[in-house]
Formats: sequence, structure tokens, C-alpha cells
Amino acid sequence: MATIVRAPQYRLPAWFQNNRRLTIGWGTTLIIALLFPLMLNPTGHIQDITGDVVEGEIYAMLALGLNVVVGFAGLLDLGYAAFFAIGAYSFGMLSSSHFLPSSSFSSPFISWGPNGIHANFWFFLLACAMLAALFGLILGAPTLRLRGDYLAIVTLGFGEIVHKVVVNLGPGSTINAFGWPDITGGTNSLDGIFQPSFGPVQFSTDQVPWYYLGLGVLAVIIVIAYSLQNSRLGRAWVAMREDELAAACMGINLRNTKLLAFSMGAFFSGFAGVVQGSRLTLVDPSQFTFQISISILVMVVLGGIGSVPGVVLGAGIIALLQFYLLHQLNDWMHLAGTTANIGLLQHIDLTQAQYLIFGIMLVIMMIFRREGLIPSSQRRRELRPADESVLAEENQSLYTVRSGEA
Amino acid sequence: MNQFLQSLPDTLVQGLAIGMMYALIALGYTLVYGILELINFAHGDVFMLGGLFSWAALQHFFGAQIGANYGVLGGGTLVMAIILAFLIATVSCGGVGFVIERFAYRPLRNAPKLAPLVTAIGVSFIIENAVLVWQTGTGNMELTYPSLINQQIIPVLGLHIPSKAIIVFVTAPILMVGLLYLVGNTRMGKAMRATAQDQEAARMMGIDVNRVISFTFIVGSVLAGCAGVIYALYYNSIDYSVGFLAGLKAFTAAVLGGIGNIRGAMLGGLLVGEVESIVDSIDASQGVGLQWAEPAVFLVLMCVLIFRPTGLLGAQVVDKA
Repeated sequence: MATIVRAPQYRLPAWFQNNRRLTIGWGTTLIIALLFPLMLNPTGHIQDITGDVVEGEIYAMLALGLNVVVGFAGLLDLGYAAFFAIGAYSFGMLSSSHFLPSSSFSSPFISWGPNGIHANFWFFLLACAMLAALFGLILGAPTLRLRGDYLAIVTLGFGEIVHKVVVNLGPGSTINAFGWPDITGGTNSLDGIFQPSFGPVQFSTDQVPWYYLGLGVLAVIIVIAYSLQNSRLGRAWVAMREDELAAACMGINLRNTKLLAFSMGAFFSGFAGVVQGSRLTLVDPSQFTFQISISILVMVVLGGIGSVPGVVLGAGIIALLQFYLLHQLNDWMHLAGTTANIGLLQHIDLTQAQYLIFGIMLVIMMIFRREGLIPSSQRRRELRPADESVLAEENQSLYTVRSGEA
Repeated sequence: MNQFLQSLPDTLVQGLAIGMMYALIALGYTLVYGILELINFAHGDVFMLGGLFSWAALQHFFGAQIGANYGVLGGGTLVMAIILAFLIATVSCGGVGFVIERFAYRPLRNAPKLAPLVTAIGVSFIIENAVLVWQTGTGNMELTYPSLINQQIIPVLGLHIPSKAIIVFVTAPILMVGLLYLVGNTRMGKAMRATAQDQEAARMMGIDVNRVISFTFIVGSVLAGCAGVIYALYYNSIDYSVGFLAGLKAFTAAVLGGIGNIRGAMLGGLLVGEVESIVDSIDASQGVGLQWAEPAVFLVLMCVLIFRPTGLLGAQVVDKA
């Protein structure tokens, strides 16, 4: 009897089976992203473009962080740039030639001497992000009892306070009148931040290492964001967002859940702050204004509140608009103005109109496509309860589940 | 510190003047919040538009006289100019308020709360940056607002009151009393109070709720527009950026007094004005270029929300959530 040799059955792992679209989408994105610097013509403006793309990566980190607070937990945070500032400034102070201590000290984590303080980037990337998370807790704690709209105002106020404190603690401030040193550099900005190295790679003005660092950090954040979304905590956030009272009745500790949302969001933002500060070697109060907080909100709203791929796309679109499209449009307008001899078109400066465009985007998205460009399916159902297509989809998914069982 | 104590009475008078401006803006926040439970972020920018539109009108109609006289007018022309400035601000801001409500907020009346809030921020951004684009496009980055009256210090009972503060002390109370009368004693005011209490019931009683909401936005915007004129006359300048901070401080005032509470908004406005004025005065006695006033005001806001979320006089908002 010949034995029947069965062809071995190759089975794809379960996590792939369950999230096929997601895995293929992210996988393709990752491959393209890894190859991206190689695709650019090295004789062209490679550094410029890569620098802008790194800026886009930082936007994506910020947007993912804000998405945890606004999208997952439904808490509108309008002072999000404050945590970005805390990450950037705390690292800037710990690893720069801003402070010049007279004594010397050396350890693997941090060392200082007359030429400044050197901190281990990789350790303090985490430590400064933790500090930002701590500030998230500090902001979150007093606002626990507040309803959504009050929360928006308090976070806005917090953002303004952080901005003004950074400005005021610079040279020639009240503190100086009491004989304290210049702490933050104020409007002169805090510069001379040291840049890290990783094995043989020294991070400097060459943007390509920064690009890969940003990509790595972003990948970690995306994985964390997905795991958060599907975790017990993520489900608690959704429950709290939908109905606080009902969530509390189900045994969810509202205090801890809210505080965790705030501190997680702040943590991501602190991460981004450290990378950005170290990359530019300087931090300046103008990087952390209310406009920046709102720009991040625009990325989240544009891509889809609560949707991880959507938010990354939103950040990409905003970066593209800011660094490329607006300048292009500006040139076209000026060209059109010169050809048609229209004075207004010749002088218009669309880069000034950036925030005007953001404002229009916010209103249009909210009125016509509240769920964003790549909606999270759950959020869409919540935002458009009476939508026919959503109902149809719900019925359909019910049906496929049943037929799948059969 | 000595310098600060010496000038304290004058500081308080200045605080009263800016406090009245904040009170006028805060009334708009409180009216709208009372009815819709919406923080109208664009309100501060409507305030800024009031100053801007009246600037344009004054330049257009009185440009020649103002230019020759460093902005000072006399007699009948002065009265005409002031009336014109307020009239233009009233009409244009009322219109803007109506348009904002009709096209940005009304489509989202029944949407989840996050949506109108985000829209409000968007509208605020649109107004602010449209003015910025206009200012850079026409090269009017620094708009000098004509002072209209002679700048002088009037001594009263040992106080030094700047003449421009007189405009605030005359116009702001008139507007506030007018509003109290409107809300408390007229048919429309009664409809407004009913709508704030319970929209559904108000509708059953035959009140056209949409009309009442539009009207509320118009009233609030008119007050903000007038405050814009007063602000511009007081500081002799206006630009795109003043709306955001003034709006935020006015919102603090509204919360401080108890949101939805009209008298509370007035009281809150005065208190915020005093806090700002005192901190500014301390800053001035300590060094140059300090800006602790805003952190102080926001700290007040946070403290109120933490320790007494209903405000000093008690919020008059039914929690509809």
C-alpha cells in the first residue's frame, strides 16, 4: 500500500488571518518607509526632503499620542503641545551646554563638567517621556471631575501656562530679579543640545539616521497604540467615552482610566519632544504654541478620530501640505498673478494662510465627514448613529459571523 | 514692591476698565453656554472683528480729520465718530454671529459633543487667520486705532484716571444694564430663559427655539463687537491676535462667576481684570518684558474649576448630559 503523502498545509499565523488587511497595509508601508531614503536621488535635495519627512514622523508621533486622549478616551485636550515642550525642554536642560556646572561628575547615565551636561540619550528618551507622563497626571488629576468642554478649556489654559512659564524663566526675568539663573533660555531659545550616537552612527545634521530613528520610535508607538486599543484598558476608555455613569456602574475606575489616558498621551508627546529637541539641537517657545496643539488636533480629526492608520495619514497630509503643497501653490498663485496682472495674487502669501486652511479643514470635516478619512469602524458608528450604510454594515457583519460559524 | 503699592489705587482703576471689557465678552460666552452648552471659541475673534470693522469705518469716513489731528476729534464730529464706530461694530458683529451659528453650529446641533467643540475651534482659526492674511496681504501689520479724544490724566479724589478709561466707564455699564433688561424684562428674554432651561418644553410652549438661539448669538456678538471697539479705543491698536487671549480670559471670567449666570459673568469679568492689572503692575515693578498675567489668570481658572466648579455665584446650567 502506497502511503498517501499529504502535502504539508502551510497555515498563516492566526494574528495575520484575523487582521489580514491591516497587516498587509502596515507591512507595505513599512517596506516603503524603510527603502524611502534610498529612493531619493542623492544628488538632489535629499537632506531637505528627508528633514521634512522626519518632521512628518514627529507629527505622526504627536498625533498618535493625542489620538489616545481624544480618540480612545474622548477627552478633548487643547494644550497638547505643552507635553511636547516638557519632553523637549527637560532633555534640553539635561543634555546641552546651556548649564555649565563648575564641578565634574561622571556616570554611565549622566555626566557633567565645565563644558555642559551630557545625558545618555537612550535612557533619557524614556526618562523625559516619563516626566511628560507625570505632568499628564498632574494636569489630569484636578480635571477629573470636569465635563468635556471644561476640560478643553483647562487643557488650553495649561498649554498657555507652560508656554508663558518657559518664556518667563529665561534671561532677564522675575526669577533673575531674585538672583536665579536663566533656566529655559526664554525667547532666546535653549540651544547647544547634544546629539546621540548609536554604535558607529553619529546623529548630526545628516537627516537619514534621524529618519530611521523616527521610524523606529513611530513603529513602537503604533504597536503600543494598537495593543492599547484592544486591551482591557482600551475597552474601558471606550466605555468611559460613551457613558461615564454606565462605565462606572460596570466597575470601571474612572479616575485611573482617565489619568492613564492623559499620561499615555503625554508620554508619546514627550518622546517626540526629546527626538525633536535633539535633532534641531535647540528648543524654542515658538515650537509649542496653541497653534501647534491645534495642528495636531487637525491631523487627528482629518485622518479619523480614534483610527490609528487614519491619524498617521492625517499627520502625513498635514506635513505634505505644510512643507510642500503650500509653497507650490504659492508659486503658482504668484505666477498666475504676474501673468494676469492681478495684484492680490502676486502678493498673497499662502504660507501665512496655513492655519486658515487648518480651520477650514476642521469645520468641513466636522460638518461633512466627522469620522475622518480612514474611519475607525467603531467610532463611525458612534458619530453617525442614524447612517443607513452603517446600519447595513452592522447587519452584514452580523450575518458573516453567523455564516462563518456554520 | 514700594512702587507697586504706591500705584495700587491706579492699578485697581485700570483693572476695573479692562475688567468691564472682559465682562462684556464674558456675557456672550455665558449666554451661548447657558442655551447650547457650547463653548463658542470663535467669540473672542468676533470681539476682535468689532475693533477691526470699526477701524475700517473710521478710516473711511473720518480718515481725513483723524490723519491730520493724530486721531483726536472735537465736538460734534467726535460724537458722530463714536456712534458710527459702535454702530458698525454692532451691525457687522451681529451679522457674523448669526452666520457662524447658522452655518457652522446649527448643522451639528444633535451631533456628539466633541463635534461642535472642534468646529468652534475651527471657526476661531478661520476668523483669526483670515484677518492675518488680510493684514499681511495689505501691509497693515500694525493697525493704529485713532484715540478720538485727547489723551490726558484726570485727577479724581487722588486717583489718576486716564481719559480713555472714561469711555469704558460710560459705555460698558449702559450695555450691561441693557442686557439685564433685555433678558429679564422682555418677551424675547423670557423665551431665552425658557430655552436655556429646557429646549423641548420651550418648543412645546410655542417658542421658535432656532430663532431664540440665533438671537442669542446675535446679542452675544453685538456685546463682543462693542467690547472690541472699547478695547481698540483703550489700547489704540487692534490686530488679528488679540481675540484669542481676550476670549480665553473672558471665558475664565464667565466660569469664575458661574457659567450661564449673567450677573456672575459681570462679576467674574471685573475680578479677572483686577487680577490681570495687579499682576501686570507687579511685573512692571520687577523687570522688563514679563508676562505673568496670563498664567495668573489661567491659574485662577483652574483653581475655580477644581474647588468651586459652579463659580462664585453658582452656575445656572442644567446638566443635560
